[in-house]
Amino acid sequence: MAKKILVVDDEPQIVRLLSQRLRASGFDTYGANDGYQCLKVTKEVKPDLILLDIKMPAGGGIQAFNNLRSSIYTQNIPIIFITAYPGPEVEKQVKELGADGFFAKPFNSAELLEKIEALISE
Amino acid sequence: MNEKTKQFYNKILDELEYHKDFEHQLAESEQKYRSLTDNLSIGVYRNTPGNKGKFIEVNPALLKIFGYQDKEAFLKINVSDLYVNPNGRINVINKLEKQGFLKGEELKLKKKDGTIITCSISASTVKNEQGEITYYDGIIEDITERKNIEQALKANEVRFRKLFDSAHDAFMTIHPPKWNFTSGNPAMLKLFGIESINDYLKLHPVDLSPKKQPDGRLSSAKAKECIETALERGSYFFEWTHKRLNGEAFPATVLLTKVQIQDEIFLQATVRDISEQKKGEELREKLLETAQQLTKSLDLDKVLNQLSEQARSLLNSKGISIYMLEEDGETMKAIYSHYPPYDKEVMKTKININNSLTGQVIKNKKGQIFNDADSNPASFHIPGTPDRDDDHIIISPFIIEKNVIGTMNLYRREPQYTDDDLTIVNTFATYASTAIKNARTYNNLLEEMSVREKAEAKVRLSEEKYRTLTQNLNVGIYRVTPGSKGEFIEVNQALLDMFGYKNKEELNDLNPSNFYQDPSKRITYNKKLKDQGFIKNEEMIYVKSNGRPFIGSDTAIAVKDKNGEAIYYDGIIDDITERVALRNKLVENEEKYRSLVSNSPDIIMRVDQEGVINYINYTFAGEKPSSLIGKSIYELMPSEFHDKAKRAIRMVFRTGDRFSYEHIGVSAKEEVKWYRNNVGPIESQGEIVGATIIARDITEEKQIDVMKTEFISSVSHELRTPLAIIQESVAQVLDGLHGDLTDTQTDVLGPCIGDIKRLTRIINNLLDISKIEGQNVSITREMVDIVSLARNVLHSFELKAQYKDLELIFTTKIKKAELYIDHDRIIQVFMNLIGNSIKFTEKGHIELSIDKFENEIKCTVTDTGIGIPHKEQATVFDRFHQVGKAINTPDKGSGLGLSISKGIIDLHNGTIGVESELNKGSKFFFTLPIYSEDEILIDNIEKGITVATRKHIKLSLLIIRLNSYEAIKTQNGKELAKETTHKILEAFQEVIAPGEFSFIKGNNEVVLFSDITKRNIVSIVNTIEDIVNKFVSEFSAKITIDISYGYSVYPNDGDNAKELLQSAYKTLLSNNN
Repeated sequence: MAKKILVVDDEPQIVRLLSQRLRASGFDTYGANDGYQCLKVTKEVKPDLILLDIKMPAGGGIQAFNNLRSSIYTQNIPIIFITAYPGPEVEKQVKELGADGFFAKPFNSAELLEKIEALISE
Repeated sequence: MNEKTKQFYNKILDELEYHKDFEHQLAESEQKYRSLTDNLSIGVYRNTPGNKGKFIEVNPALLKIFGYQDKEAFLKINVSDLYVNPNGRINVINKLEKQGFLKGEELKLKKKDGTIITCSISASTVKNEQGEITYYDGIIEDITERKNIEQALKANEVRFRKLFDSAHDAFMTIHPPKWNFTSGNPAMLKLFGIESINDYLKLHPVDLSPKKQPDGRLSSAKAKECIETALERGSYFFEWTHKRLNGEAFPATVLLTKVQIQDEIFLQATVRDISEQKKGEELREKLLETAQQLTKSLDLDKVLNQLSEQARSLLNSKGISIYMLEEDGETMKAIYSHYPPYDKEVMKTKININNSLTGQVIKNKKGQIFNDADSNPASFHIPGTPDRDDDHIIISPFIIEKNVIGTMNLYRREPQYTDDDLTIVNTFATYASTAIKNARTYNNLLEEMSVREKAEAKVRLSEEKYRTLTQNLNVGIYRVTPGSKGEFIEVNQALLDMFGYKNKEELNDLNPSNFYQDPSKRITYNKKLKDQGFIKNEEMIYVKSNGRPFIGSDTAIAVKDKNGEAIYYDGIIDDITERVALRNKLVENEEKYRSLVSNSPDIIMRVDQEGVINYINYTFAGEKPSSLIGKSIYELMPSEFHDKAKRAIRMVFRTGDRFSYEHIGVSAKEEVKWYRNNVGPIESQGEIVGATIIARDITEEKQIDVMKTEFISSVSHELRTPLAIIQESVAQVLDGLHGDLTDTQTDVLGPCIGDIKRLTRIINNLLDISKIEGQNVSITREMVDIVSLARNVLHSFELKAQYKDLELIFTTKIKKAELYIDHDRIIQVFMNLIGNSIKFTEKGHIELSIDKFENEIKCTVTDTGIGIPHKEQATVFDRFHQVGKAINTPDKGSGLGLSISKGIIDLHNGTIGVESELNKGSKFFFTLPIYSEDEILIDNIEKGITVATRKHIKLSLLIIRLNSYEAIKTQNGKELAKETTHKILEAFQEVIAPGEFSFIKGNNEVVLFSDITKRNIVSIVNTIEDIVNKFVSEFSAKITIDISYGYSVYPNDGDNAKELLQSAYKTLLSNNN
């Protein structure tokens, strides 16, 4: 059965494009545009991996992450952050939170796919 | 009486006999020269003793001096009647009889028409066999006019020299309509003794002048004239007596220059105090006068004695001797020596011209300075005199009719003689020569000749003297008839040389107006001489025979007959072309720099090596320029900037390059401002004698910069999402996710990926720069050998260079230079600089050189490329600055490379700069301070403490020691051992995060200062240990890693770096045991 990936970004174009890319690689994809939707969709579809934007309305990525990690049902879902605000500070924060990956926009989709495959196969 | 004298005497007698009109001719010739050199003319007389006294014999010059035409009438008057003071004659006679002679006695005497003149009298008594005084013989010289001309000539020379010596001139501006002061520099306040600029601005130029000028005119009226002249001519240079606020008057020169800025016209004035020069001038003049008068005396011993003493004391010399050349033409004998107590030795030693310095001078016929004469192999040591007394010698020859007859030698120990000294000695020697000649001839003749003959001989002597003087002067002397078709009656050689003609006749073949570039000047010349009787220092452009123009300064007087009609104009022309050129250049330069300084809003300072201010143009830090002079610039900024400032100044003095640094300071209005100080060298004769600092207020720039940085940061973030969308869309299409593409479609879309990558690079750079500039980035310092790092970076460009056929050169005198720097960031700087050089160089080479100074490493990248226009060099490190926007290069940059480089170097407390010449190449250089391990450690910990205090957080100082270092080193070599230590650092960064302060101390210790909590430390150390063990196991199966650690917490265990380190080491040791 195809693995499910949830793409969360407040920019619908990103969600659309990433989904297209992932589907081309054989994943099932789901989308969300803010933190609240992210939690909702996660609850519904139980994705195998989440691509999470950090800066979003209605609960940013960090808040969504903390929520996901604090629930026993979702705490083991691998989460990769994708942000337009890279930098050592953010990187450090992400690392401390215990995220599984970190990508800066504009991302290289080949590298991103590689990382996703690695995390899902574990 | 010797044979020579006899012959000479007989010859004169013969001439007297065979040429009855000789006397007449002689008188005529004498008259000609005498009146030609009117200002030097001398009267010769013999008169009888007694209170009244009668003249027995007088020469025509004497009659002329007193305004008599008729000799018989003059012989009838009482000598005492010539005196202004009725008792004058008695006083003079008393003095004369008491000392047997008079020398250069200055007296006020009356002319026939009652005019009072100043005369110089030298006289001696003539006694009969019984020892009674029978006559007084004497020489009278009218020195009134001579003084004037001499002064005029000298003033000319001195005037230009003074312009030259420009250094601490007072500058000011005055504005119409009242011509009040509107600005002035510190030198001006000092000059006039004014407290503050505000006091000064209330003053008018007339307040700083005495009521009257030395010529008796009202200062106010004269000042008005000067201002008008300056406005009319553009600039005007003149002498002016000024007055300080305390009332003290002083002579000065003033240069008024008209300045027009837009519609406003005002004057800039440069005032120079010349009282010191005036004093010197007066002293020299006085000495010169004495010397001149002395030479007229006929007592040789006395003359030489006094001349020598004057020369010796004027030049502060220890000794002086006069040597005369013997008849053999080879040996020299001293005829005078003042060199106590060795005079005897000097007087008895003969010198050979072939092995002495004196001999050299005689052969060269030119005065010379021999400083440190002892070390001169040609010097001759006089037996019996001390070895090292005559360290510096100056020797000037006595020349009579082109033959050297002797020398004047002066000795002193310190200081060395200068060219000015030589000029003085040469002058004395000239007078001594004349005196020697006069005395020799006179002494010989005196014994033989009748009174009448003696008088005649004296006339002859004086005639000869003046002829030689006239011919030898290097100013042109002429006598010309008035009118438009003037005829030259007499000219000297110098004048002919000056105009390039062979003789007087050639001159007279031409109309005098031909000698002027503007022929109408001849009319002006005639008119002025006719109207005012003289011209003084008129600067005219003359034309040489070859058509070349030159500038001459003409001083002339009209010689009038008894009806007051001008019969001749006698004048002196001095070629001042070079001086004028020099003056113009000086004036031009002076104006240029003055307006640069006065129009600059920047603070301009001059400092010495220690940073002590010796000039500053504006008030700064709320203090007046006057109170800032002598202060250190470091007092003007907080201590955190001292290191950068000191390094910049030190590097300017060491390298002669320009450096800059920024600092916070207090403005004139006592506001806190940011300043950027540009430091550059002041060079003099190849040496760096000081540094200029131009401090520019960049506060606004800084504020705008912060805004810009924030703006750029947010924009570059905002750009990332759309960019991601574009990139991904294009990539998907190209990857065939949406169906196959035609070749054309691939061709069109393909390059887009490259451009998107470039755009990404720009955004990354932008973020980087905004972080660096916002000081939001820390550097990770580690020990790096910059020499090998630089070499490696340069090598990495080998291919690119080969492609463009450029040579890469690496030069350094040092093998290794280990610095604590951010390895990756410094590579980034080298990449930027070398990359740029290659990009902008089409042929030639790129040179990377590394120099080590005491506390600094300087890296320089020099290329032979297109260069950078001068005006762009200042902004080259600005963001988005791309040199020559139009440059068509396929390898487009982001325009941020240099800006980032500057940021990185700044973070290292270094400096970065550029020197470039268009089409020749550029030189980019940066310096990195050399810090010790402890300096780095403590500095970084202190920085961390500052942040922690601000954020109210705790920080842990963690030291991890690799105890297995030595074991790894023994088994696997130093490199692997070092790598293992480095792995600890890397592991920490991996576990925690990059950007935290981490540092390798020594070979086997890693120091970390981070917000990790005490509780986490054990697990962190364990994780690190695992990572390192894994690393080591890859190359060695035998070693099990052994690490120990110590820590301390800020602020619990200490509030400064030292305490924290001590505390951490304490726990390290206890953990170890």
